[in-house]
Amino acid sequence: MTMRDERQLVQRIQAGNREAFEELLDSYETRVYRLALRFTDSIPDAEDVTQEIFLAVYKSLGNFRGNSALGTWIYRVAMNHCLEFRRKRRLETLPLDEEIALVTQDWRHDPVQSADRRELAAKVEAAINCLSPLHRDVIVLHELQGLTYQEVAAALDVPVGTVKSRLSNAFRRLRDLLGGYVHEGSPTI
Amino acid sequence: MSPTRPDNLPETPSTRRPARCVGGLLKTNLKAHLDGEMSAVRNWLVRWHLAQCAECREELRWLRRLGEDMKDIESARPRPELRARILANLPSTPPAPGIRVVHSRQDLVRSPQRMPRLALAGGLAMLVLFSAAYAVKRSSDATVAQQNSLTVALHNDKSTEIASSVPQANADVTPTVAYVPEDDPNNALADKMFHERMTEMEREKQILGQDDWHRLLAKARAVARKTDKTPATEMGIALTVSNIAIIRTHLPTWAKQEGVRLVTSGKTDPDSSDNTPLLRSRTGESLDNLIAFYVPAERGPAFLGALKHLGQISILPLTANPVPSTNLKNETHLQVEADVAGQRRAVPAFPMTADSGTPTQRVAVAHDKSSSTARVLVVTVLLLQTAAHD
Repeated sequence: MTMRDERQLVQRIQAGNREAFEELLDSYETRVYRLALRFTDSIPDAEDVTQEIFLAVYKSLGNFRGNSALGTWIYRVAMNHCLEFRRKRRLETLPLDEEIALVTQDWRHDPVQSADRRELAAKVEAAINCLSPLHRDVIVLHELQGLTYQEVAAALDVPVGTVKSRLSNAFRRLRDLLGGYVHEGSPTI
Repeated sequence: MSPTRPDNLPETPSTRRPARCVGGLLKTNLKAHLDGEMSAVRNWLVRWHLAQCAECREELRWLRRLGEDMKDIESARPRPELRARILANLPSTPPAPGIRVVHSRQDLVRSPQRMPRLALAGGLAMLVLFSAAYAVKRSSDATVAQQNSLTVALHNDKSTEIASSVPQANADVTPTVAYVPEDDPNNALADKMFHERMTEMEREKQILGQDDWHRLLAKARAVARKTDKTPATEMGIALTVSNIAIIRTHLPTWAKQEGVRLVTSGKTDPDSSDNTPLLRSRTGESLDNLIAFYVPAERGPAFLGALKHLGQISILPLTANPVPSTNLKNETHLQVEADVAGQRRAVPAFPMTADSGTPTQRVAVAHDKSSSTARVLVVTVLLLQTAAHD
């Protein structure tokens, strides 16, 4: 969707056109839901947060001026809600070091079983969940949601350089967590 | 995709790297290189290095593989009922264009009609959201930072920056979020909103007074009794600031004079470009630019008064500000690990919830008098904590 298309879409929504808002949902509902699911780890919670996000998006669309891409703006709203959810929940979690120890031990304990691709994904998933929130957020937004560095920076309200360094550090951490890796088939440079 | 046998795969770089790659600095750029997020020059440097370094080539290969596998793990899809729920709960009134809220420093910095970057880099005026709406002349001129002045930056509904300068004599004008109504030719609505905001802030300024300190201290001690039965003799006040350099320049001497302990030590943030020691939360989150004071209980009110009137720092309310800052929201719940009584330990957070009747957030603004400009917008969360003290 071009910026012009986005502006027209927003104008139609501002004029009360519900079908236009459904078009917006077509483009962003799945992505926002997946993001919410990352933060909530629960389908009912993810649905609630997704609903809150789109309600906030709808209410705030009157203030959207098209200075940034619509997607970037939506992600920023979404991240605010997701981080708020994380803040409220305050889950009791294991100290980070203990979690890492568990995952690392598990991963290296039985390398043959980890041959299964689905299990590999689960390992990657577990490793991502062991990252610090700051590192996990950039991984989720860039690697899983496909945002550019610039878009991630806007969503997290941090400089692009910070996104770059966090990603680099996050991957270094994942490398340490995952150890020998991963699937065959990727060409080398 | 064929099943994978990790034991047949190339070793991960971390397991077989006996010595540091000579291109260590470039190595940190491999991820950005892979993502095509580097300048042409840096790209060229990385490629040049890759041609010579087998270790980095392998690391790049590893990064690419992991990235590809990550793309496969996101497969959840929302149930159709969710769409129906969202649509059913939309307000009946359309989101018509209305008031624009300038809600963060980032917004100001990123806006296209901004002061030149060099000017920013020169440490000029902070682009704080001053609510001097009534004093602001509507103008489409770009902000020009002036010596001996503070910059007011507001936006109107068309995102045109409205800028004005406030003389240094008025530097204590209270920063807040600026609202610029869309259609308000006489600024009547802006005046009204500004007045309401100021009244609200003045009221909140009183909250952290002597009575509040004693009330909070009593509550903090109750919390301490419940946790480790050690009565608190100090209370910790943690602030995060956006420009720690100024804070660190000014505060240590002052804290010593005031008889309070200032804590800024901690693990170094791996993402920080400098080596500023920082505190870190128990959950691993880096607490960028966080400082903490530990104040003897009996000195609390005096300390707060001093903090408020310190030349470089003013503590101002934030709670009324609808600032959707991810950083802010993220920081309010952090468990702080700090050096307490010579030991590194987690500081039990004192929950400043509604029932305590006291807001948790304040804005601190550092005025750098040496350059006659206010450089720091900041912010933040004032957590009152018990410091279970031996």
